[in-house]
Amino acid sequence: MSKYRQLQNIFIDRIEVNQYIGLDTSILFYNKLQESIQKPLKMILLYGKPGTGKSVLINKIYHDTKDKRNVFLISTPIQQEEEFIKKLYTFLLPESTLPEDLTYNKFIDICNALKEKKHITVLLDEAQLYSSSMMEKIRLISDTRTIKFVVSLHKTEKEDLIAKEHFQSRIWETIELKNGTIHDTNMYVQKKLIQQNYFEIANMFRKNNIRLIHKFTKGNYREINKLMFTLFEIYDYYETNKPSKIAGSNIKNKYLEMSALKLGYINA
Amino acid sequence: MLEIDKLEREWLRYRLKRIKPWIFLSITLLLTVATAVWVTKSGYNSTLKGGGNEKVKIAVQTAATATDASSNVESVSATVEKESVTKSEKVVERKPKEAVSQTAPQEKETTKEQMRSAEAGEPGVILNPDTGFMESLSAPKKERRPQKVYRAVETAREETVSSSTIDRPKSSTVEKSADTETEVKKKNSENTGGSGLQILSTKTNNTLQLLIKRFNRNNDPKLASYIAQSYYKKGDYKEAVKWSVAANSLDPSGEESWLIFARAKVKLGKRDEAVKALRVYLNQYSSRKVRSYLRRLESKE
Repeated sequence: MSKYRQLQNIFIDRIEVNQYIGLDTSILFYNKLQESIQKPLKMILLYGKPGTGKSVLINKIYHDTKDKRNVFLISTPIQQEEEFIKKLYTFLLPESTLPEDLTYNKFIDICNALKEKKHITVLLDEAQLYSSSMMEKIRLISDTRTIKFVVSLHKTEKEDLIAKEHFQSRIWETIELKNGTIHDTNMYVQKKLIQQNYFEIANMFRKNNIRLIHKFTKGNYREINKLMFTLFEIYDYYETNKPSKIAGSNIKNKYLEMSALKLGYINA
Repeated sequence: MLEIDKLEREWLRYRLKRIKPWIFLSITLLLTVATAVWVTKSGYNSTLKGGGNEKVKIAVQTAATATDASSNVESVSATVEKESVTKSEKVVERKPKEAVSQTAPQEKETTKEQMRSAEAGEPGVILNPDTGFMESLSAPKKERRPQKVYRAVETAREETVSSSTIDRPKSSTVEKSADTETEVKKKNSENTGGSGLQILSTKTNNTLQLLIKRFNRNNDPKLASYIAQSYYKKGDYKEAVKWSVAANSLDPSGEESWLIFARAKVKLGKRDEAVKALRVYLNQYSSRKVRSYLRRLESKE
């Protein structure tokens, strides 16, 4: 596999905890969320635009704390109420004790009975996909104080409304994730490359390249991944077909602009 | 699958679109400047030509009317604007009221003058050159002088060549002010950059510490070279030298480490050592980058 094809793989958008990039802002959010989990809160709302690193952060928190504390993750929303309740039950008690006729009301009773004995934290990723009635039930479960929920959702007007309706009185802590600054963009690109031992490639990115990347992606990590993937796709093409065009020790802005054109960030 | 040719064409269109407003702006600016220059020049010329011509014309015309009194108008040469002469004839015949409606105010004045001189029968209207316009000419000249000097000072500033037309103290003050400007700029950049740099250095220090730890584990020459580069960017040239030496002791063929070593040495004021190192490298390996940097260093010597 050519060098640039391998580089494309680094920037494929996926959640891998071992590839977590500790940027200044993401470390700040990480610490904030860790502190919030330790507090006796019913619910914590984690929100932000898509691509700001919510899922990565929630996964990182889960992997770092699952052994120390009772933290559980539901990364894909479970739409069926029955399934959802069963899942929560297995977090609280051994699966072998799971009653066959477990209803929502029964589960609430179990939670109330365990109030003083057990406390767990459940991380709910992509929570905007839960229905309103399901959200209402999650809210009531949190009232028992046996299960604390960290709800991660996209920030849109609709989702803001959900947050207002269901959690306003319950949410004690909100963490809003934002796009990265130009410094974050630089560190993200550099660290991603260094992590995989591509020091020479990391050195090829100059300030003007980073400024352009930040301008096109507005510091959104998902968009940075897309842009970098396309950039290395273009470099891979030239390396195979016209290697002289990519000679030099710097990344050419031309190819960044071509990537941006392909992704529709700019128009000809 | 990428369609590179299509993308390249799109990119060309995009660049053109980006450049277009700048081209338009520069052309407009150029035209405006050219028009301004032309207007000021033509204005200057018209004051030169216009002022002189009128006086000459009046003088010629008065001479013509003087001869009218004794002889006929036809004897006046064709170049002395037949129209005005004939109109003045008519005015003499008809009376001034009708003449007002037909002639322009300037012509009116000249005809009046002609009439007056004719009526008075002044014999002493001699074709002496009117030097009055010289006064009007000398005035703008005086105003323009400092501009010329200023331009000369400016060009002198650019070329840093002392010109005979420049006043010594003026040029020196200009240079001084330029120096102080750069000093202030430097100070400003130092002031503003100071706090920013501090934050950056603390951040990069953390990253660098991690990278150094990683290097101690794997002894990767590329990583050493990267650390050297990072120190160089930070302005810590001694550390940059240290790490570039570490990098090229692990991999002597890597041009990057040698280049960082040489650049850092230059920054430390040890150009000779830098040149020596690059020559040693080029004796064993060939590198276009190293050769061009060495050439640059040698040309500066």
